This record gives sequence, C-alpha cells and structure tokens, in this order.
Amino acid sequence: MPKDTTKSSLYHPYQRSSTRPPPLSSGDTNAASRFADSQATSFFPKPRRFASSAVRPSFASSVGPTEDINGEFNLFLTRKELLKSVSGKERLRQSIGSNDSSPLFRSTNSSGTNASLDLYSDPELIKARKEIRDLKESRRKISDEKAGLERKVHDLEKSAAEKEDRIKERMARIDILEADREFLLKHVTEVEQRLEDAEKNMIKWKKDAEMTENTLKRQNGQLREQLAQEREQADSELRHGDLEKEQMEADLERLYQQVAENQNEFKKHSAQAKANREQQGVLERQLREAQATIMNLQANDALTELITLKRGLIEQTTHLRTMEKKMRDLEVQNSNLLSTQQNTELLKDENEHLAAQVARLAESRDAADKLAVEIEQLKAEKQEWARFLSENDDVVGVDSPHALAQALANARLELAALKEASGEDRASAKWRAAELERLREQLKEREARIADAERRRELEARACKRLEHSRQLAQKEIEFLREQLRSYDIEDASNAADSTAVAHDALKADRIRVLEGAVDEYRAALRALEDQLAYIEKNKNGGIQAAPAHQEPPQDPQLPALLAAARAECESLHSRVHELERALGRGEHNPATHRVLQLAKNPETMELAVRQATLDALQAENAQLRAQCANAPTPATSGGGDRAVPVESLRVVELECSKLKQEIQDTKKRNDRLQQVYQTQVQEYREAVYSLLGYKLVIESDGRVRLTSCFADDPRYRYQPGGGTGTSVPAVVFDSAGGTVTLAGGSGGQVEAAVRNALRQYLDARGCAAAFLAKVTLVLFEGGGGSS
Amino acid sequence: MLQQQQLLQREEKTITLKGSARIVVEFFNFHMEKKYGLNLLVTSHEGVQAYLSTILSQLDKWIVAKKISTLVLVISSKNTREVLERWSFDVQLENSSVTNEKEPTTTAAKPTSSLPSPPPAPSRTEKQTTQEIAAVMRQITASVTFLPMLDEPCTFNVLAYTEKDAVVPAEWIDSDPRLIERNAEQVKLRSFSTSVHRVDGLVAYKYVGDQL
Repeated sequence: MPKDTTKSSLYHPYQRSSTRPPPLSSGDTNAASRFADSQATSFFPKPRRFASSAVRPSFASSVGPTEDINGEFNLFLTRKELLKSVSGKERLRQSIGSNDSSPLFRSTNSSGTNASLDLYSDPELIKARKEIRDLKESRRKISDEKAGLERKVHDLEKSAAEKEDRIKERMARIDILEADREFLLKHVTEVEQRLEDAEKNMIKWKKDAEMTENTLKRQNGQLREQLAQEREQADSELRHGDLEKEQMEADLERLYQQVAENQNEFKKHSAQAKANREQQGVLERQLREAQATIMNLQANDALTELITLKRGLIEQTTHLRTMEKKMRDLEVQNSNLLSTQQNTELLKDENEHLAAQVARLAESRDAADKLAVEIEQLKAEKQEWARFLSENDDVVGVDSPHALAQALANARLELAALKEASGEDRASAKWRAAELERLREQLKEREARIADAERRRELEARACKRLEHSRQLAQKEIEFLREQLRSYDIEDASNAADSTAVAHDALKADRIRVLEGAVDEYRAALRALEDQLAYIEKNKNGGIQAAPAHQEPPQDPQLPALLAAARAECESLHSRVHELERALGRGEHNPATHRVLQLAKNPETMELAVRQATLDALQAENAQLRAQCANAPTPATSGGGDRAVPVESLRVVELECSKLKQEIQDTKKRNDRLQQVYQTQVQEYREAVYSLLGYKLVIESDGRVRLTSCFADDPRYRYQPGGGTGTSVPAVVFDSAGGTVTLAGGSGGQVEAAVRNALRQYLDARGCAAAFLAKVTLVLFEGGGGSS
Repeated sequence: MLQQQQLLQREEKTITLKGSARIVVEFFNFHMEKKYGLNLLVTSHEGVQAYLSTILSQLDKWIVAKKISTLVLVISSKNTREVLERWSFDVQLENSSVTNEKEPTTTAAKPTSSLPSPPPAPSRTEKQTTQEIAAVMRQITASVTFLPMLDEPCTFNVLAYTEKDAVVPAEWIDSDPRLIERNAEQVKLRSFSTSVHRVDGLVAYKYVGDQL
C-alpha cells in the first residue's frame, strides 16, 4: 500500500498556518542574512524538513509578526522597526566609518569613504548608541525569546517527532494490519479459490471416479472374459499338454523299448563283430600260414592247392569286408540310436518343462483367481469411496487428511450400521417373503383341500345315496334270506325225516357251490357295471366324447335305476366279501371241503393232559380227604393212632416223581451228548496240539502229564530188541504235584543221552521247559546225532 | 396239601436257585441263526424241534400234494385255554401248471376254492423270494409293537387246514379251529411268493385295550 505523503504535511507546524509569512524585499536581505546567521549559529538543529528549499520558509515573504497557532511568541520585527533599525545602522556606519568589527559594519565600511573623529560628542551618536544598546537589549531579548521559542519549537518538534514516531508506529501498525487484512483477504480469496478448486476437483474426481469405475467395470469385464479365455485356453493347453505328455510318454516308452532292442541287437552285433575279428585274426593267421604254405608249395609246384587256398582267402576276405561293412552300418545305427536316446532325453526334458509350465499355469490360474478376488475387493472399496463422495458433496470441513480419515471412519461406521440395519431389514424382508410364500402355499393347499373336500363331499353324497339304495337292497336281501332260511328249515325237516345226514351235507355243499357261483356272477356283473359307470362319469365330465370301440353308450332310460341297483348290490357284495375275509382271518373254514388237523401230541394237549391229570388227582385226593374227614372219628375217640396219608396224595407225589425222573433223564441225556461233544472237541484239540507242537500230551490219573514226541513212532527210533542199539525215544513226564521232570522209557544210547543232556542244560540249569522240549524236538529231528 | 399250597405261594413270591437256573436256561434255549439275511432266534429246545420237524415234514408232503391251504400257529393261555394270538399263513397255489413229477397232471391243477383262479404269477428268483421272506420276518419281529403283552403262561399249537381228501397220518387228528371268540383284531402281514406258491400272512389277536 503506498504511503500518503500529503498527510504528513498536516503535522508540520508551519504548514498548518493558514497564512505564510510575507516574502522579504531586496532591502531586507541583511536581516534575512542575519536571521540566517543566527539560524546558522544556533545550536538547535534545523528541522529535517527544512532541508528542502521547496518547503523552507522564506523570510522575504514573512516580514511582519507571524501568527502562531498558540499566539505565544512574535518572532519577526515589524517593517517599521526594521526600517528604523536599518536607517540607524547606516547612520552609525556613516558616522563611525569602518571601526566596527562586525561583519555588518565591515561590509558597510568597505563601501563608505567618510570617517568622523568626533564621535562621542555627537548627540545623535549618543542617541544612536543608546538606540544600539536598546537594540542590543532588544536583540538579547529577542534572542532569549528566540531561544525560548526555539526551545518551545524544539519541544514542539520533539513532541511532533514523538507524535510522528507514534504516527509512524501507528502507520506501521496500520500497515501491518493492512498487510494482515490484505493477507487475510488474500487468504480468504485463496481459500475460496481453493474451495472452488476443491469443489471443481471433487466434481472432477467424481467424474474421474465414475469414469474410472466405468473403465474398471469394462476392464473387469474384459479381465473376466480374458480370464475365462485364459482358463479355457489353459484347460485346452492342459488337455493338449496332457495329450502330448501321454503321446510323448508313449513315444518315450516305445523309444526306450526300441533303444533296448537296438542295444541288445548292438550287443549281439558287437559280439558277432568280435567273433568275426577273432575269426579274422584266425584267418589272417591261416593266411600267413597259407602264404608260407604257398611259398613252400611254390617250391613244390603245388599250384592247384594254392589256387584253392587263394580263393578261400579271397572269400574270407570278402566275408570279412562284408562283416566290417555291416559293423560300420551297425555303428552308424548305434550312433543313430544314441542320437535317438539323446532326443529321448531331450523329449524327457521337454516333458518336464511342459509339466513345469503346467504347474506354472496352475499357479497363474491361482494368481488370476487371487487377482479376481482383489479386483472384487477394490471394486467394493471403490464403491465405498464413490458412495462416500456422493454422500459428502456438501461437506466443507474436509480440508485435511485427518478430517478425511475421520469422515471416512464415520462413514464406514455409518455404513456398517446401515449394513447391519439393512441386513436386519433384508433378513426380516426375506423372512416376511418366506412367510408370505408359505402363507400363499398354505392358501393354495387349503384351496386344494377345500376343493378335495368339496369333491369328497360330492363323492360322499353319492356314496350316501348308494348306501341308502344298498340298505334298501339289503333289507330286501334279508327278507330273501329269511325266506331262504325258512325253505332250508323246511328242507331240513323233510330231509331229516327221510334221508341221511350225509345226503344233507351233500345238499348243503351243493347249495354253497351254487351260491359261490352266484357270487362270481355278481362280481362279473358288478365289474361290467363299474366299467359302464366309469364310462358314464367320463362322458359327464366331458373328458372323452368318443365312446370306446367295444362298448356302446347306454341309451336305455332305465339304466340309472339299474346302475343304482347294481351299485347297491356291489356295495353289499363288497361288505359281504369283507365279512368273509374277516371270517377267513378269524380261521373259519368250510367243513365240507376242509379239515383242521393238529398233531395228537402237541404242547397244548400235553399241557392239558398234565393239567387234567393233576386236576383229576387233586379231585380224587380231595374227594378221598373229604370222605376221610366225614368218616373220621373225633380226636378223643380215635386217639390219633390211625392217621394215614391218603392214597391220592401218594399218587400226586408219584406223578411229580415221574415228572422229575423224566427231567432227570432229559438232563442226563443232554449231559451225555455234551460229553460226547466235549470228547470230540478234546480229541481235536489234542490232535491240533500234537501236529503243531510235536508232542502228545496225556494227563494221567495221578496228575502227572506225559509228553510223547511225534518222533517216537519214527522208524529210526523204534525199539529194536535184537538190534541192541537202544535208540528208542524216552517220554517226558512232568509231575506237577512234585514239580519234577522225569524221563520214562528209552533204552539208553545216543538219543537218550542227548535228551538227558538237554534236560540238564535247559530245564535244570535255566528252568525253561519250552526250550527243553524244543531242543529235544530238534535233536530228534536231526536224527539223534545233533549237538547236545 | 397244605404244604403244597405253601410251596406254591412261596414259589410265587420268590425265585429259587432252581427256578432261576431254569429261567436262565430257557433264555439260552434259543440261538442266533443267520437266515434270509437276518439274525433270527431259533429254539434249541429238543422237544420243540422234534415237534416242529414232524409238522414240517408232513407240511412238505401236503404242499407237494397241494392239499394244504392254511397253516396256523395258535398261542393260547395255559390257565384258561383262551386263544390269545393266531398266526395264520394261507398257502395258495399261484401257478397251477407246475406239477409234481410223481403226480399226474390231472389231479394237480385242482384249485383250492371255487373262485376263478388268478392269472399266473410272474416268475421270481430265489433272491426275490428270500427278500420277501425277510420282509415278513421283519414284520413279525416288529409286531411286538402292536401285539398285546402276554402276561400269563401260554402254550402253543399248530393247526393245518387241509383238503378233505388229504392223506392224514395217524399222529394227526382233527381239531377245533381255535378261533378268537371276542375282541379279535386282525393285521395282515406281508406275503411272499415262489411263483408257484403264494403265502399270505395274517395275525389275529385278542384286543385287550378296552379292559385296561
């Protein structure tokens, strides 16, 4: 802000006066110079602002007494006094000449030529002197006043300077404040600009975010497509790789086989070549021998033999060359095979490389899956940001990352709460939807049930009508059956008079057969009527308009009545069939055709017989006891001597005894069978032990256990009375009571010695019976000659 | 007599060592046998085995001769002789064209009832028949859920419903059909078929629910 320099003049004391001092005339230059000298000799510093001539006050223009603002001093002389003093000085100068040392007089003296010696007698001089003195006095006063005024001026200047300083300070402060204001204004402007920029940026960011979102969506779609394509491609490559791998494995296998075959062939050929070389060596040797022979034969003129030998030699050489050629071929083939093997190795490496590629492909697939998941996460985060930005468009307080993070955290919290609320709302909405669906289904079911119930009601109404008809028919049938019963009674009466019971039964059976035939006829008729009924109902419902080929639609107007009667009959027959089934289930039968048989000796009759026998015996005992009681004398007369057990009681006891004996016999029989079974099992067990462990085990009656080796029956150890070798095997007897082991039998010799040695070594010394038996078995198995 | 009554009363109250042994032996009188793919309890009682073997040998003859229509197992009370359960098995000839080798064809095709004979049943494998028998066995095992408890001592008897002209051995005698007199309930069981014979099961029992 530029300073206003015009304001500073307001504070200048001279410039504040409305009237400036009048300019001095040319005649007043001395006074002006004096004043300037006085000013120059004054010890007070000049005001700074007077340094400039433009602002310096001109004494030429300010001759008269100046007006002070405060009216405290009168600085300048009036024109009259000044002219008076000037004329006095000129006269004094004229009179004195150049005696005056003052510069004023010197300047005047230098210009004057007349000097007078009678100075003190002149009255005018005295007067002039007096006036000089007065002037000096006035001068002194003026100078004092001037000094006072100057002091005042100085004070004023000082106060003005202080004020100016204060003003400067205030101005500086104002400047600072102005600068602050400007800074603040500028800051406000900048903030507004930044806000506008931020808003623009926000909008731009929003647009960019939307564009980015769209781009990401597109990229996501493209990535998905690319991922799917890559997956398909990877799958196809994988399949292709698998196929190639299988093919290569097959090729490899085939090449391996071929290599093995070629190697075998090469070995064969190598062996053959080796043999050929050997043969070649032999032939060369033969050739040398033959050459020597030729030489000898040449000497002996045996030319024919030589020719033969030469031919043979040529043939051998040809054969050798052929073999060498073949060998070279084989070497070439071998080199080819080696190269093939190298190719196989290369193929193997390539196969491994492909497997590694497949593994990398699987890894890349996993990475693609992970990227897809990350894309989903970024998308969700982007959506969150977009939602946050859209919700907080009007928020101005977001001016720092902290505020933004705080707002973001608040937004996330709100989002979580909203999600929770929305989740609850969704759950409740889903529950309501499910409930609504369920209610709709229930409604449908109920409507279906109502329809079913309506249908059933109609059917039941029809069935009621049928039942009513059937009831009427049943009443008629009852009357008919009553009549039939009456006829049966009459027949019975007549038959009882003049026929046998067998004939009566035969008649009844015939009648039943006739009735069963009638039932069959009824059923057939009922079936036909049911078919007709079904056909009529179909026609009524309009389902089928065309009549079946084998049946004509009923045209008889009496058909409904017939149908109703048939239905009623059918119902009655159904009920009758049901009753008959019930009767059959109960076990009723036709005595004319069937018999009910049972075994004569069955548990029920046996139980009944036992009960009956017990009952009979008890009844007889009871009767006898009663008779005994009735015929018994009083205790006084009898004396108690002939008290006896009734015979029937004895019989009851005998019955119980026989029953118990029977039980004992059964038990004994069972025990015998068990013993037989046990003996068989024991024998099997012994055989198994004998075959597995090699010892026959017999527990003797005295508690001893006899062990006989399976080698006892061996011909090597069979006792030979005449042989005298004494190689029979002794039996080992364990006495459990005495805790001793003895050898029974045996006739000495090497075997018995070995057995006794084993007894001492394993049983006596080490106390192990199993080791002893094993050793004995080994000794016997080795033929008795084993080490002891 | 008094001693007997006291003994009876004592026996009713407590179980003696002998009685306990008898109970335990009776419990083990059955053995488990795997048959028809099921674990079945089969009696080990010799008397029962002999009784059943006699019946089954004769049953075989009657079935071959096509002279039996129903086989019934009657369970009755020992004290009152009242029939409590009646397990009946109807043996029906499904395929009348199958004849016995020893028997002429003319006598073989006689139906058991006067009703028209049903169409010939489809041929079945032995496995199917075994599965059907197993189903019947399972149903019989599960029948304890609806049959009333037999709290009193009971005995049993086997009845055979044969044709009038069937050959009957001397040890077989005529019997009462042993019907359940009152409160009878019936439950049909599953049936099995050998494509020649069809056996339908039915259990009738005395319903005691109203007496409780």
